Amino acid sequence: MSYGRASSDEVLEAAVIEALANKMGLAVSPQETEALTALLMNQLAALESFNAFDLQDIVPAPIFRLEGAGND
Amino acid sequence: MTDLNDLSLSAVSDLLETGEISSVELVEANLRAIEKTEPIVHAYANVLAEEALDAARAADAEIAGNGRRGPLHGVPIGVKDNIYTKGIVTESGSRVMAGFVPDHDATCVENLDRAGAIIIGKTHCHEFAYGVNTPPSRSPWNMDCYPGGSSIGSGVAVTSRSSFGALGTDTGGSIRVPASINNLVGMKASFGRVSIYGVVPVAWSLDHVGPMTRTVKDNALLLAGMAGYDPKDPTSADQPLPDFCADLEAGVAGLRIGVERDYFFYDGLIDEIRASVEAVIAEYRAMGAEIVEISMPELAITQDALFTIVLCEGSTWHRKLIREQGDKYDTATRAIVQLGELLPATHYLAAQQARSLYRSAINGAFREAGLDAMLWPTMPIPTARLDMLNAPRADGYPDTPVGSMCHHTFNANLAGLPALSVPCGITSDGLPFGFQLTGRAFDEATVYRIARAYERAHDWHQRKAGVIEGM
Repeated sequence: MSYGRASSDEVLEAAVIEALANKMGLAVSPQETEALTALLMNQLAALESFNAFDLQDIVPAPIFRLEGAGND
Repeated sequence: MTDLNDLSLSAVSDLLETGEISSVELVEANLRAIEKTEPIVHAYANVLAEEALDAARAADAEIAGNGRRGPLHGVPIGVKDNIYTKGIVTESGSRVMAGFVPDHDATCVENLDRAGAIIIGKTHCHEFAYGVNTPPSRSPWNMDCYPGGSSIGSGVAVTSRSSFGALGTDTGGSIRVPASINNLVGMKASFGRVSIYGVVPVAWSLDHVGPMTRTVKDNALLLAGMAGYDPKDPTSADQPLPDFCADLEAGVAGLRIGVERDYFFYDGLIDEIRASVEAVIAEYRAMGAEIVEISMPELAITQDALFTIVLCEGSTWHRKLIREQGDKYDTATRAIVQLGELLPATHYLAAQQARSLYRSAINGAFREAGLDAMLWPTMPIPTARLDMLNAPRADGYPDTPVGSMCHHTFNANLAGLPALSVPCGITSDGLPFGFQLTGRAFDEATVYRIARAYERAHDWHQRKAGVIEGM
């Protein structure tokens, strides 16, 4: 499986990401920071594809039981 | 004389039923195949030779005394190494779980044990089934090419004829992708059909366990053995368990099959697969099925929705482990686990909104067009060279091979609908590929019926990989 998508034009400061990740206890090394920042920048752009649809009043579908045909 | 390993699961089951072979003979046959093929393909993380032989002796004694419990009694199978097996090392492809021995079986394994199936070994998987590191398994169809994942060892074991069937798990395509690459039938059943209790999670709301086999009937038999409501699994569905084989030979006359073209027959679909799947559609039409063209623009959001959900749910499960044993993760997996924690909660919920929208769209398409199933390729490419997975695609399409591989599979995990990959061709380079049937919720039986109608007219499922052919 591959993760990530087309890259966004916006730039994140690697130092900010490193500080945030370490604040959260993730122990991100300086060597890992650049790759993690690139992954995060790409993944944050995922919302762009959702913007083509009106999701405003749609109830999110977290863990669900599939009850039968036609269930939506 | 025919090698027992070349027979299908249902064929050896029939021979066990008539007493023409014993379970011990089957296990010994698998072990001979393992001895020959494992030095090359590395499908198994752990071969359970003595345990399987002991279980086979017990099965033979029980069958001689009381008859068989059912079609799986005495049949050896493989189990992916992220599925708990009581008393047997289960490492989920990770140093983080090195030496871990569960004190209970996953419910699907418990069900198969009750049905009398025998575990011949635990099969390799990508680390925690994320699909980003490189396990040792190799494809007997082309040793330089990716054998698919994350149920990589299960796919390689069954296509290498060292197992009659195997369990895989599928969060975004991890059963169907290796099934397509290895010329196998792979089923991701309806969400809740097979318990995920005792399976190391990737993403709770997307995870499925399912069978990988050489034929459609084998697949139906194995699914029947592992499925069923499980009160220990909060996502398990209390639905009737039908006989998946009852209508296997009923044909497709009068059934309605939907085909969506904008997303699934896009420019990234290579010509050989496009032509073969179009031929499959034409065959179904000729067999009396009605082909219905449908439109689902919501498919455009499935990839981003799935990635976001997998990242957030997965990293939640890993929250403790990544802090306590972060140095034991493979570098690529570690980055993915860290990434998931940095995504905003609003993104996770927006992805779940997108998922709701897609579920409404596909369930609406089934309902409004009166469809029995939908059909599209399993993958847009057959596979790719291991050293080129993250490089630009060789055919010039603007994507990487690894980026393309799950383009056709994510949607079924989001919708929770049953999806089956069925072999339908081999490229001029000798690489197998399949088509995919998606059915209505809990209607795996119709999916199998449609798949069998195609399989009956072809011999793809009997083709063997070149490396194995000479052994």
